Amino acid sequence: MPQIIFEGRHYDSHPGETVLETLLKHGALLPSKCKTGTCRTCMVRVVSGTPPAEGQKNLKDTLVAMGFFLPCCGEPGEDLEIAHVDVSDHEVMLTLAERVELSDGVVRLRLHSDEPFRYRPGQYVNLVRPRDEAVRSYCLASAPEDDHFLEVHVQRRDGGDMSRWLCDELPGGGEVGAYGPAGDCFFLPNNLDRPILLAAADTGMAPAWGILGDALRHGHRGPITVVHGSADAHGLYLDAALKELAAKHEQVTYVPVVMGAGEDHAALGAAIDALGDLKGWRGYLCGPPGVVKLLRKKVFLNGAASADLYAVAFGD
Amino acid sequence: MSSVYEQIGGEAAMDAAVELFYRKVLADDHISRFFEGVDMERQAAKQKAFLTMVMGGPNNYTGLDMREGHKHLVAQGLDDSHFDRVVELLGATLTELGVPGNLIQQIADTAETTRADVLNR
Repeated sequence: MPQIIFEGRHYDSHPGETVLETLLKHGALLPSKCKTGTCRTCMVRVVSGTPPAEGQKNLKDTLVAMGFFLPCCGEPGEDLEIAHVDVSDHEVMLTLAERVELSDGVVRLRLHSDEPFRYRPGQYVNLVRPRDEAVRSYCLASAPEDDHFLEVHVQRRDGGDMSRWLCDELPGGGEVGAYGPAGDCFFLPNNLDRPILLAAADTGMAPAWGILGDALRHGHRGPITVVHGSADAHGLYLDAALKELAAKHEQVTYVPVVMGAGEDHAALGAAIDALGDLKGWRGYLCGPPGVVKLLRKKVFLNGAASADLYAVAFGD
Repeated sequence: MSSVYEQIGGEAAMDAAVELFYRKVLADDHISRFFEGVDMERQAAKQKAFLTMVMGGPNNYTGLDMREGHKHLVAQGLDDSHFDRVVELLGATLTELGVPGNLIQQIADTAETTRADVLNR
């Protein structure tokens, strides 16, 4: 019978057992709850082997692409090495190669990695300040195919200790630790003809920019609509670059939205409504949690299927 | 006799029903706040488990899960009026999917049996 390898130990599975049952029977520590594929508490990642199909049946395609599966569903058909889905505990040291003020308040950092760092544009990394090990997550706007630089966009905030450090204090050549990558909001080249909506607020444009570049790199043929919202024009920090891209690529449309200071983000919602029926679209939704929540509801109610929505929300 | 779940098409029918049901729920101002959240997929998985249960399909739902799962919502004001609306929208979803009226009544009756647990009474 197949063996399950988890945290360096080998477990023999028996006929009729799910991977989770095998692990729990032998006392392995893996949190679980419903055991029916609903709550996702026990979700793990496969390191080698092919997980049972039932364990991936209801998961988003990006989670499947990362090897995630639910060990409570289905029997293993072969030996499986599995691991926790948490961000890797291997720290990579990055050095600051370039810092550019993209607009009043938004800074672009390019960080160099000496060792190869595999990720997909739109995923995030946890950056660590060496002096006190403060950690914040930042989404990647770059692509590993292009070069060895990781690009992040940082909003300079009053009282934002980490953002201040990254924007103003970290010297050129200075070191930043990084853990990752993580996140299921990225492009998969499994359908190049479907319309894509990239809806971002503030520095949510970083992952959106990464995903946009990835779609074009893979030769995406369907229409791509980029909606970028921010309280004021300074927040639309890639305005010129996006206009240029839209002029160059026929299928790309750019919709800048100045939202104003209100909490309801009504202007952004109206911009989404103006796109009409979103049935059959894929939606990538990136920004602060409140905006992502609004975008999710809006894009879903306007016709996109829930399985076609990818989102990344970061603290604001 | 086969369960309502099997009669209306099993898991494939459930996926279609959840998508439609969730659209109705989110579009309804009276109850949408109880269903909103950034993690919509997990929400949808729970709706699917619930629909599977009320239709007599394979599930592990218990009254205790129902109580635990809704406790925080009851604290936020979940009451009979919200429960009634959910059952109503469930009926509308099934009607739209062409499920016969007698089966919808059976499903509504089963949903009704969860009322006390959902509302933590």
